[in-house]
Amino acid sequence: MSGGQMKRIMIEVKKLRDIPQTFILEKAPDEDSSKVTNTRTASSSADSTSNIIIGRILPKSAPYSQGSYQVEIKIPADFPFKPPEVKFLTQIYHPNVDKEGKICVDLLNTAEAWKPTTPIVDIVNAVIKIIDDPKIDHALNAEIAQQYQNNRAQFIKTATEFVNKYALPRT
Amino acid sequence: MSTSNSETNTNNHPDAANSFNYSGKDVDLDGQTHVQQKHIEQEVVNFCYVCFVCKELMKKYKYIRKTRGDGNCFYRAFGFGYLEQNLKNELELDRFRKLVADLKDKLVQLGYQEFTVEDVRDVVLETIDKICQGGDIPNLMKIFCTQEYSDYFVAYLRLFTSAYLQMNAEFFQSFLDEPSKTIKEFCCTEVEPMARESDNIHIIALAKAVQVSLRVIYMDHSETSQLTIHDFAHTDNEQMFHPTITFLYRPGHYDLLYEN
Repeated sequence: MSGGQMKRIMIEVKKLRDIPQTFILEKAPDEDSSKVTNTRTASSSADSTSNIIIGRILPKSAPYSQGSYQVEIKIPADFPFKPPEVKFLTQIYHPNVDKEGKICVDLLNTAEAWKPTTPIVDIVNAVIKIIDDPKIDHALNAEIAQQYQNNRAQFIKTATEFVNKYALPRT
Repeated sequence: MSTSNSETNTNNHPDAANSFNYSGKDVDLDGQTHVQQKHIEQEVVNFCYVCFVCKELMKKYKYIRKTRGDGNCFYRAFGFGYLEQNLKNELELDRFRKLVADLKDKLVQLGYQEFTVEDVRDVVLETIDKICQGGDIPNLMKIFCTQEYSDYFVAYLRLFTSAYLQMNAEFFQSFLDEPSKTIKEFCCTEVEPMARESDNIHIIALAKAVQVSLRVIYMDHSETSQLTIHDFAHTDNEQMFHPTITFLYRPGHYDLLYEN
């Protein structure tokens, strides 16, 4: 990992701490561990596990606004030239999140949208936006998308059940 | 190998000439012969064109340097070619270093977050300093083959291009293939993402942004009786034109050419 990259990640983490209304930071790569990383060979695959940010997002619309949801942001070795990977660790019933917690965010599309100048805070905001305002034509879970469109009452009922069962507190 | 569509297949893929439908009932042998003849004629034209271009290029250029074909080739070739030409030119490197340093403030004015461009700028400054302190071609090769330096250089040249386009949006708007796109949108999807390929509009903008004159020789069949040459001057005074860097363009790729 280059010095430029570590400096960037440290500032990204600091910015993530500054938005307590939307994101609660729980785990971030710290500078000390990065120094250890630096002394290893650059190609060591073990390095990738040290570049994980975990935190809880705070959506604003019902029923998701009743809880918080843990997401993992994995920073690739060639960040910022490749986008981070984002995945839900908390189960959430949503048309744009698949069973493995994968979510499709336009910003992270390598070929067309990802730019090295995109801050991670923008990614977090984009994830919250898609949770608050599902994009049915980009659904990752077709069954939930169909239910969302054709039987909204049942969708809200199941989504609320998931919130009650799996969602984490907002503080 | 495909056995269908042989009569309508007019592309010049080498296999296409052999893709005949021997089993079909309504075989149009005359038609197929005609298609095959056309393919052979096209092959001959292609071959003659390549011979012609090579002969012309050899009159004026002694080497070609191949660049990695990853969509960043124009910027990587530009970065390498520029530094290579100015290895011993302290004055010019100083000028470039100042442009690199100043671009950050322009980007911040355009709405970029400081820390997302600072990291890239710092690595580029570090690269220029390394070159100043004892740059030779093997050193430069090493730097440009090290992703940590090379990609930062590419990314910052993309930002030079993007900022220049945005600051002259009104002028460049009419160059866009999709007129409904704004220059800002074009920069977001076609300039700044890594691996997006470059077109004339990118070349014009980068040449002007960093004040370096460029020449591109096109090997794209657009002209068969002479070399297609486009010059991208960094000033409007075209009489003084002398390119710092010359590229050879083949569809989708740029390499560097070296004059005799």
